[in-house]
Amino acid sequence: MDATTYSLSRLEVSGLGRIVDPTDSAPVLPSLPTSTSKPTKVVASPAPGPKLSLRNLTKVFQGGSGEVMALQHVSLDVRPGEFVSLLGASGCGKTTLLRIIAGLERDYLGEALLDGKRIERPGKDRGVVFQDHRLLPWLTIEENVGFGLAHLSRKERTEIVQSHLALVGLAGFAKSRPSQLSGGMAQRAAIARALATDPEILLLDEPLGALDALTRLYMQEELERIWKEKPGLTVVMVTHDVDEAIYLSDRIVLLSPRPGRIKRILDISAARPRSREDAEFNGIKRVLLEEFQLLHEKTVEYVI
Amino acid sequence: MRRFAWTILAPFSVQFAVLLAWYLLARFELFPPTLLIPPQLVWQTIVDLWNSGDLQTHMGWSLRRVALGYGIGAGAGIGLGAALGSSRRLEIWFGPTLDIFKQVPVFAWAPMMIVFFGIEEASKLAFVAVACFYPVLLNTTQGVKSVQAKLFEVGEVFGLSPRQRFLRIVVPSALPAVLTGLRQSIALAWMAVVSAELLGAESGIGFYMTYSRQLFQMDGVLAGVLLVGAVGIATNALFGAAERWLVPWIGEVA
Amino acid sequence: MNAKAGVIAKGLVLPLLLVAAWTALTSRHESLLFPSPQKSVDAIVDLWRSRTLQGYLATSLRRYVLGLSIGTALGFATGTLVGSSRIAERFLLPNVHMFRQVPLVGWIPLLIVWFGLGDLSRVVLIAMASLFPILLNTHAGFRQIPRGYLEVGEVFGLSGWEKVRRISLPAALPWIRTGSLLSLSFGWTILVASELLTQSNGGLTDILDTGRERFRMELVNAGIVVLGLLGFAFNLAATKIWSIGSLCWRSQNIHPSNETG
Repeated sequence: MDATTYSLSRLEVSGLGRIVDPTDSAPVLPSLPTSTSKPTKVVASPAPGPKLSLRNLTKVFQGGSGEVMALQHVSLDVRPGEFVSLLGASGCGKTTLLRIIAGLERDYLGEALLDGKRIERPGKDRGVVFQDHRLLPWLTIEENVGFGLAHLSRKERTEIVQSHLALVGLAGFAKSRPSQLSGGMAQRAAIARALATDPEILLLDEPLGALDALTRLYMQEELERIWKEKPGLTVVMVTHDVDEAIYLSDRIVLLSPRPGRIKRILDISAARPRSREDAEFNGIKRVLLEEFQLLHEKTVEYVI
Repeated sequence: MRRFAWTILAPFSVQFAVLLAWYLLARFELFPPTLLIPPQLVWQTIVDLWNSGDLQTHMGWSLRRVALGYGIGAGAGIGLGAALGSSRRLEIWFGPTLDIFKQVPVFAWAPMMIVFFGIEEASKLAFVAVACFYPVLLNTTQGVKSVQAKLFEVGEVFGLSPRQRFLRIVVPSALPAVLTGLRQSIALAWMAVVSAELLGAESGIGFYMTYSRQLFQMDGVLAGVLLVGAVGIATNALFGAAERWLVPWIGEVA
Repeated sequence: MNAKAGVIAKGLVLPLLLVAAWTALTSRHESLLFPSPQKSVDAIVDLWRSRTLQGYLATSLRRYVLGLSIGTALGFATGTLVGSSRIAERFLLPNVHMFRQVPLVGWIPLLIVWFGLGDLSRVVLIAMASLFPILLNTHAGFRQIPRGYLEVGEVFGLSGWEKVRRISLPAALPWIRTGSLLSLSFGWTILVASELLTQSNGGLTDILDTGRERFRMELVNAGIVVLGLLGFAFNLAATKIWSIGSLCWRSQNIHPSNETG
């Protein structure tokens, strides 16, 4: 009995979820998780189709030593209101994938559709949070958060900014400057900025990667809380942190590098908020870590 | 090959265009000869000057003045800069005085030098020395000051004497800044020499240019401009190369 | 605050001491070369009363402001151009660097031949002087804009022009500020140079020239003081203007170039 079969049956037995093999002929989603998941979340009536539809995405970079195939025939559907993590070691193309969704990478093969429409350039319908918060240093926090709201009246803008600052817990820091904020606070402001434009989908590129380990744990909880306050918000997050992915996601998409491909998609239907100590959590973690060991025969490249 | 053309040839194309325009303007006499001489004639003038030895004479005078004035001014700058940079006390007491004098536009010192030293060599040297003093002073002070405390501690830990600490830690650490100051200074020194010669001299490139101008000899004036420019560019290149050689551990030289 | 006041006080001791010593020495033993400071003060007051000083000031200021405006405008425009276009940078920047190394005063005889001994030559020279610092610093400012900020602009769907206005310009502003201050001070230096080397005719350096020709040291001293004070005042005023409101943000690691060019 090899490892893969063992983990499969272990999971299925515990009722946690299923591993979807992307080499299946129908790489689309399994049925919706049972009602034991996400009790506090309001799930709208079944959407007509996927929120985000990626088909056969292929991206090649011209590197110093030849071509690098960052993504090869990557296909994925994301449902409305879902929290999906793209998990993998460096070089597996997860950031490239996110950037394609964001519209920051335009030179690729394949198709990327948001609500059925082609993604051609960046836009306010897709909020982006970068790993380095990229708050503009010459603006105050409230000016930063309101950056995408320039077309609104002052009154409207102020309202939205205030409510989002409150949402991320920075209510008293409106007039501060980014240099005065700690890493975690700055990242929260960046999240507020991305959400202020009421995007269809929130894209996070290793949002907690620049924070220290303790702040990261705290921010994961904050991230979940903020997401819950925005019912129906779809989130795609890039991370290399296995714990983080399990803690936050409805689904984890495992990517393997060189060439970048989806290795596995894992459904997480555990109840929220999830506990990092319990058996369910660690069971999934074991599965994922084993996946990584299969991918990298010699070295282990993840960080727990 | 394409890349080479792009990086190397692109700037030269502008120079070539300018040269061509110059040639054409002179050729078709769009400006009277009192204002513009064709480039070939200017080149001829330079060659003539070289052959007659005048070029060497004038240039020799100018360069001599630069060397002397620069030596005095830069030397004083390094000395004072090192002192002020290493002693906070000295900096507090003497710094502001130097700052006050720094406010005076450098050329304003020229008349004073002439009054004190007459119209001869001494006043020119004094002026050049004053002109190149400040960049060296400021950069040296900064360089010595910013020798990181932690590097100093390394010296202490290894039991170096103050003299050794100075030579083996302070000097290499402050060197990049000092060299920058020296490079900025030589440009100012050259400018000061040319000005002093333009004002009142009987030798040197500046004198030659004024002389040509007064005799309405455009070729002389243009030749002078080219020569002055050539020296400026050459000294900058020289100092830049020296900087890269002496402090290879620093990245780009601005 | 007390510590800072103490430092300033200590720094002023030497200058005040020098002035006091000078006054004391010259009160007993005046010589042509070392007139008392009082004489210089008197000279300035005289010039003011006879309205000559104002005339000088107006003339010099006119030349300065004219040259500075032209030079700064051109420098900023070119700096923005080479800062945003790789092509322009490739072609123009090495030539700018080369041109900058030609000592400005070397152009004077040529300018005199072309434009005569009048104000035009001086204004052109001052414009040339104030062009380079702002050009180079504006270029540096635009080149250092972190790509990340520009991506933020893209992500919010800003148009090209909006990106420049809301992101590029504010990001480059500290450098532009340094460039403008350097231009200002170097322009003032070259104004003095241009007046001295083209027989001033009505500018502030007439004070120096008169002093030198008539061997009146107190005038030379007075001229130096006036020119120094004005230069200092301009720099101070410009610094104050630049620190208005949102212009005064500071980024973590700015190291704007300090070369005057």
